[in-house]
Amino acid sequence: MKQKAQIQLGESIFVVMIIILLLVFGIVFYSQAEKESIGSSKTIFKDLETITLTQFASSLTELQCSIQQVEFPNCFDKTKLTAFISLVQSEGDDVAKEFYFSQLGNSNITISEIYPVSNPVLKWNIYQNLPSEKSVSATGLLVSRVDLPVSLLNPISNTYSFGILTIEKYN
Amino acid sequence: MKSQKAQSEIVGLLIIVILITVAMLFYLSYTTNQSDSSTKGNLRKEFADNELSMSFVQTLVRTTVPECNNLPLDILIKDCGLKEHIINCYGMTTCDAVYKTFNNISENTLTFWDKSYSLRVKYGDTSTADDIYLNNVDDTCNEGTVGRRAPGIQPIPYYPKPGTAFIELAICKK
Repeated sequence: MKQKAQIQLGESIFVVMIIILLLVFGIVFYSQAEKESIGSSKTIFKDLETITLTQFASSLTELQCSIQQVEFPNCFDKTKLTAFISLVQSEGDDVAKEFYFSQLGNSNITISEIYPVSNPVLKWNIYQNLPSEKSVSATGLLVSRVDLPVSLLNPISNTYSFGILTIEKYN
Repeated sequence: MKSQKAQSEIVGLLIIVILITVAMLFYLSYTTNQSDSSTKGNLRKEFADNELSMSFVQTLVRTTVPECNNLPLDILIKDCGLKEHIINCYGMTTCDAVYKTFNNISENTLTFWDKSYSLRVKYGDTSTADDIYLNNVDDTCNEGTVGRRAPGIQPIPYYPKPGTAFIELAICKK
């Protein structure tokens, strides 16, 4: 009788151990799955941020080509680019800087003229706000880069060049 | 006594069945979520490629060519498609000027970025001009395959004459 009770006790202990093992295995698996799902959500949010930034930068009304107040999509006016750069980079104009920082955040936006080919290549760095001075050359903080073709209007000669709007998003 | 023991054993079995079912359901939902998130992970890439193909063709037609009195490419494409040869491009035909410009721009952008692409100018049924094909694609990215993203298309009507030319750029998934 005593031996039977001992066997039953052993059985119970074995069952409890199996259940505990199953539970531990379940918890480990669940935490790993959650970790991966949070990681993928993070990537999606970063992608969405880049898309928003790209759409905002490519449709900056301040820079768009316009004839009789009609704007052209994917077109920047070269004279407006120069004026925009002096506004954003001027010393003391913190209101403009704050406004564009709230919209563009930590990013670097450049427009380069690809055709007609000129030597050196014409470039306009319309916005630059990198996380810190030290990380200017650091690529580790670069989240994503998007290149978009844009027309560059020279309103004096009324010619359109083929340019590339490069948007680099940083952490 | 015997019936009570049998009942408790059935309860034990039931618990095991429930545990296995919950584990399987959890595993299934996890695998489904994973395949879903891998599609979402390409969100930026897909957006960038679609925007690139659309804005590329829109920008291209507007670009003016210095060798052809700074006339835009859509006018040159029209002249080439209709074989009018009204425009003087300093010894070149407008068809040559269009090809040269397309080649120059695509080499400095799409090829430079190591993109796999197919850029075409179709002069249409009413034209006798030879279509332009600039391809940098492999077999996985032929027309109608899943390896190719939705193309950016820009029509150029020959108005008031009949027919339409098309510029089409398709970017391949990489």
